[in-house]
Amino acid sequence: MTDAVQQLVPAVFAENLSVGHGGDVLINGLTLSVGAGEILAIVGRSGCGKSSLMRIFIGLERPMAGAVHLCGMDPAELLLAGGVRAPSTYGVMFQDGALWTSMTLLENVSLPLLNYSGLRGDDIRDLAAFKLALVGLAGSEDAYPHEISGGMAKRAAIARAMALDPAILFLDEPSAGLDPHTSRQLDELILQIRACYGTAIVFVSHELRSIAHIADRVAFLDMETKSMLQVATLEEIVTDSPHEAVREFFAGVQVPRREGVEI
Amino acid sequence: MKLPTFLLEGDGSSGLRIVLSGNWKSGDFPSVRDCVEKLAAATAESSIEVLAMPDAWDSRFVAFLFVLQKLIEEKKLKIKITQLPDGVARLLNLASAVKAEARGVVNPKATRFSVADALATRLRFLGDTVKGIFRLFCRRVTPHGSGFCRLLRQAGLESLPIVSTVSFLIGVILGFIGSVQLARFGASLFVANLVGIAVVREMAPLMTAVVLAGRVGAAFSATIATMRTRGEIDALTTFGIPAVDFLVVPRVMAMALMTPLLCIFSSFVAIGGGMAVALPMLNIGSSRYVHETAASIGVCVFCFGVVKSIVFALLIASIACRSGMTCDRTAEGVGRATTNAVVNAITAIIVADAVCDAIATRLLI
Repeated sequence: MTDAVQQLVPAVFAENLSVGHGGDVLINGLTLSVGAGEILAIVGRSGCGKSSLMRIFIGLERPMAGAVHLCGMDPAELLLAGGVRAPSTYGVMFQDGALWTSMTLLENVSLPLLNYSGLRGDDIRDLAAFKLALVGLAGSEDAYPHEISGGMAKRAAIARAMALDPAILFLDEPSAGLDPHTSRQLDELILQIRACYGTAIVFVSHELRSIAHIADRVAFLDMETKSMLQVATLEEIVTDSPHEAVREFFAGVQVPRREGVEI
Repeated sequence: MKLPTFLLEGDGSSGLRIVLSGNWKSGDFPSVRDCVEKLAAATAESSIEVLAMPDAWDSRFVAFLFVLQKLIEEKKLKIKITQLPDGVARLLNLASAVKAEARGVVNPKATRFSVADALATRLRFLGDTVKGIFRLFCRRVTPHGSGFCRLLRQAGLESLPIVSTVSFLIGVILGFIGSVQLARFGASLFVANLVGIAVVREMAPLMTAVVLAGRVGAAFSATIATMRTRGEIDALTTFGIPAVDFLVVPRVMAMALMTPLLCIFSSFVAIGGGMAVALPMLNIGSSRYVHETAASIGVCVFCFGVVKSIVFALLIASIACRSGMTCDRTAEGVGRATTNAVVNAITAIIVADAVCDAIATRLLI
């Protein structure tokens, strides 16, 4: 695929998606498109299917109906193929990091490189160390995941997710369990990654301040109607949403002024 | 302070009144179900008034009212509670705010155990493992070098002390039995043959396998199960690294490499143990004993023991890894996975041993 074509294909495209477990439907008929370099926040009340939707996006579960395309390809097929494309198409940061606990941070970031970059030895070490330095973890290369704090673990997980410079980054609750200061730092990091790599970012969050700070658009999932009520820019959602549930959720949120953000 | 009391007032005609008074914070409580029974017997009226004016109360009092309300409403009677302390009223409202609704429960029939399914999943797992080994040799995935060394050490080196202890004692036991029994036929020298053949052919492979099932199999299973509950296996999957290649194949290979070595080691130690008992009991020279032992163990018997230990190793590792990979994502699930790994592995080892012996007897080994 040439770069020109890639610009036209949305990074994430979900068509008429139904999400649920067994016989229980959580979300019906969700159609959503995330452009290259766009940051989308998925919000909604607990239990509305955000996490399930995320697991479908990253190919760990199959939708009940409909289809997902990441850069034009089906995530589950990408994974089944076990090929090079899946990890360079998208990276995932799981909720509490899910770093591989038996390996050091450097080894955590190295493993995807070892399997898919075609690089060897010192090159991998250097690249992995650079990725860790990028997220502010220079010097902690040889630490094991249980030796570092929650905020550091999330940074390391982002470094690992970014190991192969994926086109899309999925973040599951990046700021959950972090203090406000660390949370802000993480937000800045996410914005920097988007600005430098042009990565499309889809994240699930409850943290209204983070959402207001980094999201270009917000998708609101609703339990009552089992659907995506609205997807719009934060400004539209906060100032004049036609839906009572959305207004209630975002009550009191200040829309920050953005400079030079274009999609 | 007064005890908690429950008082019925009024007769059938003018409506029923219940008065709750006294200290509801301590002492014996009237049972709410008894009260409702008494109520139902006492009245034909459709409405009941409750005067709740306890001197002191805690959550038990609120729970009493909550259940009372529910039971009375179930009997299609009307209930009106008055004079409630403010806190109690608010707690009752809070508890009644969301009506209990039946949650979707997984139909137990849907998850019923089926032999065909169980067999199919096991075969699929075996197939995945074989494919993983194939991929490894085709260099389609890069093995995680330091991790493999760690597994070799865990399975092999760290098992040496326990394997030697068990083997030595097994040798001693066989030596004792042999010495005492064979001496009665004047065939004392054959203790060497008995210990040698029994150890090399049966006991060394079997005991090594049982020890490793408990030591290494349990560890494999617990490690993989914990990784699964923590989402580490999901993380592997999203990086396009098949969990089987990364977790199962190295473990199966490490066991297949180390178990035969341990088995050979165990044979030597056990023969030594037998010798340590037999020599002083029977007054034979050590060189004679060694010679007899060496003469009794043929190449075929030796190879048979080693091959069996490889079979056992494959069984232990694959059963342990499979139980870890399929565990429930709960703390209890990890425990169950570990138990299953050990119990199933030991059972499988003994069944496999019987099958191997039956085949060997046919082949006259």
